[in-house]
Amino acid sequence: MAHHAPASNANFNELDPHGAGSHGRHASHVIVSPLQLRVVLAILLFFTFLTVGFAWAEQWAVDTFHLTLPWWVNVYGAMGIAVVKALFVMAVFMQLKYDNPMNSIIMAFTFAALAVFITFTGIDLFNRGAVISWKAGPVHPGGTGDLVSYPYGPPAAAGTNIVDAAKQRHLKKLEERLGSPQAAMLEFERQRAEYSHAAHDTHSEHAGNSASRTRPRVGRTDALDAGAKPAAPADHGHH
Amino acid sequence: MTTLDPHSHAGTGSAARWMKYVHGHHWRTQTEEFDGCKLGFWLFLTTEVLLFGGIFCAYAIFRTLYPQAWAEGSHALNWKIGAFNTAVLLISSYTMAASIYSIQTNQQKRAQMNLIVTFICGLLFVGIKFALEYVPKWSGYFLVWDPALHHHTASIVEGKTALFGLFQFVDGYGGKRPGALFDHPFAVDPHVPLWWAVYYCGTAIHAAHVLIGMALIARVYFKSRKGDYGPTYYAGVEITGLYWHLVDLIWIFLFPLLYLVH
Repeated sequence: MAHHAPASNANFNELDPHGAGSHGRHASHVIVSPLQLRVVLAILLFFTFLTVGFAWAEQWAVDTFHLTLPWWVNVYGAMGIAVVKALFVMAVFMQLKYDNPMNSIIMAFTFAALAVFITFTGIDLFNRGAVISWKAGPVHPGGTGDLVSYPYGPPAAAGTNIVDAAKQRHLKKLEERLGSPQAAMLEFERQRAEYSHAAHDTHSEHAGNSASRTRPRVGRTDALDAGAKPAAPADHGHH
Repeated sequence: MTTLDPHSHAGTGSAARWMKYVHGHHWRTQTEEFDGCKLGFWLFLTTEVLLFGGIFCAYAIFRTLYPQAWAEGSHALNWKIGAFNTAVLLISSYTMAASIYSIQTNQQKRAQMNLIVTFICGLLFVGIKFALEYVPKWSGYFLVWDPALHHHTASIVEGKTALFGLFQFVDGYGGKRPGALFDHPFAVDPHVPLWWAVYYCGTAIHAAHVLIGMALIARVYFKSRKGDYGPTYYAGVEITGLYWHLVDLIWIFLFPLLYLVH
């Protein structure tokens, strides 16, 4: 009877029959050189500069040539650059490029899930008007604070939104300090002008909104538009 | 790959602690343990991405609905502070990765220096965030070195200072807290409070992550001083690094979305 002996019996380790220990070693303990890390850092800093420059260039182009840029230029430009930066961080700093591919797959599925999450929310929100017309408008009234409790007492007039209420409180304080409503109003306007100047700095002023209406996006980067436009019909369903 | 001789470890007469590390008995090899550790941590990082994903989704919805409020709110932020903090975090990410390289090549002192620099960068980030952004926007007290203070010279309240004169009170803009959720009289758009809600949720949860990351870096630093990490065992440094890079990753998206809105 022929005795069939395994060829390399001596090297067989029954605790590690597939040699996982030696195979995995090289994939797990990659050493990324400092030069490569520095190059990636330089790229990341450059892209940070680029994203600021992009926002400036957009503003400049619109101001100088009176362009009408589509609304998505600002968002997609900034996000495109951010995605490139994120890929560099994940590939080299977080070593996904050299790592077990399983970790990359997990991360890819997470971002896919996030994209599905945001996309479906958008599809719902911006197509409500196509199904039931009165649902097309902005979500109301959470943002106006109609449901919040007021730590300094309720607004003076019923139906006043929180921004008006804050204005009235501030005017009352100024009046107490300065004596007359006229002086209070003047001081209020002075402070508002100072605030606008400080906050907006190099940016152009924007207008067109009122307490009861946020001007919807109608084809250009809204904040750049100094003049008020008539309110567009609720057209979120067509974006 | 660098060839390593565990017996050439400089500075210690006897073997360092990392050389004596024995992997868990339920793992076949130390490499498997390391891989398993990392896989588990990546799974945790996915939950972090989804946590911030909710905030990004809220941002997308409200920015589309109330673009004017977003532009107005964003203009109350200073992009220079945001850009500087971005650079600080990117540099800290580099020093974190460099500390892992140093551990892998058994340069203990260099690794510890890199960890210290990473920690200081985190401190700088949080310090700037609080001293130049959160505190003035909520209380009206400006740091005396804050460049924004010169916009408000007409409204400075003489003698009203805090923290041994480090913070100066400003009436009007400062006193009226433009960053407060429900108390901003100068807002043009009534939906600006929504912007501040998203801004504070996003940046505060991110800042909490920076603080947790700093605590992890401090832990790794003290363990490293005891000689716990070396070329064959550095899972703790690696995982702290992954956490820190995620913090950086989130800020890469938060910065343009919050500071560069038109």
